[in-house]
Amino acid sequence: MMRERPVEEVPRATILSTRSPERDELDTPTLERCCASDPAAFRAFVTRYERTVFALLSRMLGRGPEVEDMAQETFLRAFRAFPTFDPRRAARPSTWLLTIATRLAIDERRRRAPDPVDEDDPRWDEVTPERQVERVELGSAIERAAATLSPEQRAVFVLHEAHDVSLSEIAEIVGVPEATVKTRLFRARQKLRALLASYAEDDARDDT
Amino acid sequence: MSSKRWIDAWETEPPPADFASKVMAAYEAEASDPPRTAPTSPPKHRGKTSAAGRSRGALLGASIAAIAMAAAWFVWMRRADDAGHTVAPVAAERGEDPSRAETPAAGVTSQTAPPDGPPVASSGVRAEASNGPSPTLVPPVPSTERGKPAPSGEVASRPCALGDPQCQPTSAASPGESLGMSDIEGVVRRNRNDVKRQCWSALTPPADARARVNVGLTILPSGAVSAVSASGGEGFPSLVPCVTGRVRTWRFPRSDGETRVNIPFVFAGS
Repeated sequence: MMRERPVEEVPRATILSTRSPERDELDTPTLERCCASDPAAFRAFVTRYERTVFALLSRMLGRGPEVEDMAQETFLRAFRAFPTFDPRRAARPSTWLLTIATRLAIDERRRRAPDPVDEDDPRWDEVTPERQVERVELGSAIERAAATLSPEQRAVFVLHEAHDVSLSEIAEIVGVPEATVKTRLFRARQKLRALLASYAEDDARDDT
Repeated sequence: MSSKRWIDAWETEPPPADFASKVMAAYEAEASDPPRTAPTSPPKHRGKTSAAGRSRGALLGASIAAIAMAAAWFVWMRRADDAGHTVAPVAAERGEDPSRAETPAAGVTSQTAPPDGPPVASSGVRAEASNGPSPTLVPPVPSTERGKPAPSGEVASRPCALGDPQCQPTSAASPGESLGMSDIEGVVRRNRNDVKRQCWSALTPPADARARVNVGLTILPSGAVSAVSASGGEGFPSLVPCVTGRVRTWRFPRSDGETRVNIPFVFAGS
């Protein structure tokens, strides 16, 4: 039976460090044990990469209970695929895992009805620099802005900006040429810049 | 503008403290009763469709030629043979015997490997009895049920918890080449979290709540769901309409015949 977790113990959402956590990869011997379907190694693998996967899926799908479901499916698929993974030759395990998670998330977003985001929503006008100096408000604003991106644009933007995945690796992950990745990244940035113009101005002031 | 600042402010869902334990529990459950679908390997090739879609497409492409040749051969053989033979499955296929077409339970019983019937190959393909019109692709029978007849009057099924990788639908194929169980399982697996989220979690049930909903549906050759019926869901009046509403929107791969499927959903916990 599932037990409800006290909200006080674990906050519903926290701001995670998002820059390059996956650079510190799991060691090769543990990965090799994963390839041999060692449950202890699997657990270490989950513990090492769960935050990365949750971060990606949250940004791809929005926060909510489905993130945990998709994260679980991601790891189960990884476990099944481990026999074909060569830790000494293949890409970084984080990239490999993000590939699985990204494709799941893109498929999920394609299946869903588009998020009800209206760029003419007056709430965008309420977003003035004076009122959004708070980080939480900025986070909320980018969440709404990202919802206007296509699943493919969103994946490219999140992988590149939040997970430091190179353009060539993203091309492999989403299965398109690198030039297409560049185009999608450019368009995603352009769209977000337009929607978050007030923040960009705010940043410019901060920088000066 | 600063993408880095945006990203850092973008809140994400943290993993629950016991997430690794949950994953390992799901993995162990799956390992004890592995799904018959092919494992998903990390994609190494380019393409816009999902890995599952590509492997299904490749399998379909490889099978089409063989199936077409076999079908043509059997049609030719039937015409060359005595054309006066009346074959019951053909009549059912043409809708000449509605009672047969509307009894999925009987269909399951007759097609889930009767004890003294022809052997079922591991691929799930077997030849029909000698008066059968053509080879029939029978959906692979779940391993726990293979070789056993379904209970009389009901489709063979067992509890199937959402999120449980052992979740297996049962199906009864109409005469003709129909969906494989792996196709059906794939659609169920992709959609079950959606059902859970939309129909169960939305009710905010207490932690010890439990409900079971048996859904019967017919999948048309186009992959659309035609008839959906459901029972169960006691104590949660909105559960059955919600589940049937979600299932009605599912899309399955195309096939050459109708397939009747029974999917038991078991909802538990909060």
